[in-house]
Amino acid sequence: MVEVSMRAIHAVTVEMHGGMLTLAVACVLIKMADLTYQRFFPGRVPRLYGYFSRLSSLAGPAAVLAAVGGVLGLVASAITGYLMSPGASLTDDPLAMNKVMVTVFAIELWSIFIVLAVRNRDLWTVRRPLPLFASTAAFLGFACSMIGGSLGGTMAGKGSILDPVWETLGVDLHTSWILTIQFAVPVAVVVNTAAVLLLLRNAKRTSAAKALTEDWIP
Amino acid sequence: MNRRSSVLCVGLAVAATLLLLNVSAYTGGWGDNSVEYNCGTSCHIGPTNHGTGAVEVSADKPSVITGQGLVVSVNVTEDQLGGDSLLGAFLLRSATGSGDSPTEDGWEILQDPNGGANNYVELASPGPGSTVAFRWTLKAPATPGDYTLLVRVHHGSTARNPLWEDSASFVVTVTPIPPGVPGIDHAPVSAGYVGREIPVEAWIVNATTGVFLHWRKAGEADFRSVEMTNTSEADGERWRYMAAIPSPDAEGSLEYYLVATRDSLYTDTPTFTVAITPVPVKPDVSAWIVQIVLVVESVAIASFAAVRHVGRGRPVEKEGKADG
Repeated sequence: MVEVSMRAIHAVTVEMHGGMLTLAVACVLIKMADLTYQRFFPGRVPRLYGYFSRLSSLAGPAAVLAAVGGVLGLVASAITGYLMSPGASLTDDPLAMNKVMVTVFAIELWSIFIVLAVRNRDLWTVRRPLPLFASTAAFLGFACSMIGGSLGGTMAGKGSILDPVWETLGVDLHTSWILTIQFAVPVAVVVNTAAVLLLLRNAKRTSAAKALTEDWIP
Repeated sequence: MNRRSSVLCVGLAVAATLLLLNVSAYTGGWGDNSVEYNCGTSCHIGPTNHGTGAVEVSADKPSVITGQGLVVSVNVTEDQLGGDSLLGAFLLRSATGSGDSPTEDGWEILQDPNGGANNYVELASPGPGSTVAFRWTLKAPATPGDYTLLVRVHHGSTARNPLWEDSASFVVTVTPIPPGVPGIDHAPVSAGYVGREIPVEAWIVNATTGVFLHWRKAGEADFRSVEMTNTSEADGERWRYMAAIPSPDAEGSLEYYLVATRDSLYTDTPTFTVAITPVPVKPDVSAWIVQIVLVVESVAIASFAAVRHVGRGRPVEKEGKADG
């Protein structure tokens, strides 16, 4: 019986999430292009838009399906990647730590996209900036998974297609991307405070609107 | 779903499948590993096209005694390479495809070209026409006999075809250890750090007149030597000898070999290579965990707040109803 190495399974899961997430982000791009057309160029080139709208109607569900497959692939590749390397080496190598970190961020951001898309079946038709928010999560998630892939290629000693970008930006992949506590904590405080203030403002507006409605009812 | 939509859907699925298939495993390489040839790139699939490169293989001696070291040198010259210029080389005992690793015959791979202990390794070529050298250090099987070895090379091409070539196979004769000859059992050291001495340990049999460590910096003409110390705590068949290569003062590589003597008889190991790198700075793991948790938590709560904020907007028709 042929024994399949963990390295081969890891490679399969990497290819799986790479392909799935690329498809997902391509579908999100199509939906955003559709929304941009509807907002800024309504009624222009109607025949061409007719074809595009059919593509766009398929892109919404396809994005969610591909994102789900991509996240499953990401989780599977994280597990197989961990099993492939000895546990201690993950925290000895700054490159591996950076990869784990961006993979966690990618999983979270894609999960946010999936939750938004599943909870809002009309995600791409609401007027408020929910579609923009969901697509931002998808794009950031894709960027994180792409960076993770680049780090993986570097770990395997094969380099990455992003190497010229890292060189131009002066990013050293082999040093850990860990912020100092002195920097990280203030950032976290600012983000959380802003979020709480936003929630409070939202709650205040909601209760004010509710009170107005109750007062208006004869 | 109407017919056009179905056609479009099928077209998209086919395009996505083709995109996934286009991710080439051959030219990308799969990393160093201990594998049979058939699983070297992808189980059940291997390159079917024969390349035109030259693969020359040689051993440092035609015969060795059981347990003795042997160096296999391979020079590969390719005129076609994939985009990443990778060359993958398998050290094999046969071209059957399965059960073909030399370890099946009892060979132990002490050091591969990348400092590991794998029969498949990948090296980047400087470019088409350049010769890339692979060097395996093996420990001979415990059973005397004639053993066949060969090397098979995988590489890509600009046309994205996976290609392969074989070297000529060669036979190494393994003879029984003559009576009284010392034996060395040594796990080679492949990595060292700047400013830290490199401990070397060996288990020795039959050495009564000294065990010596010879070392030099790569590129130097002469080896320096130091006698190893017997650190065995109790008498036995094998004695533990220790020595250390002095702290290297710069990055680069060192070479060393061991010699065990018994009067006029002696045994030596092949020359091993030690890659010298700066002492790695151990990352702050707790700060790393705190950072991940902080970012994940911040993104989650910011998302929740933003969604609550923007989620108040409902589809256009609902707002229209409120107006009415």
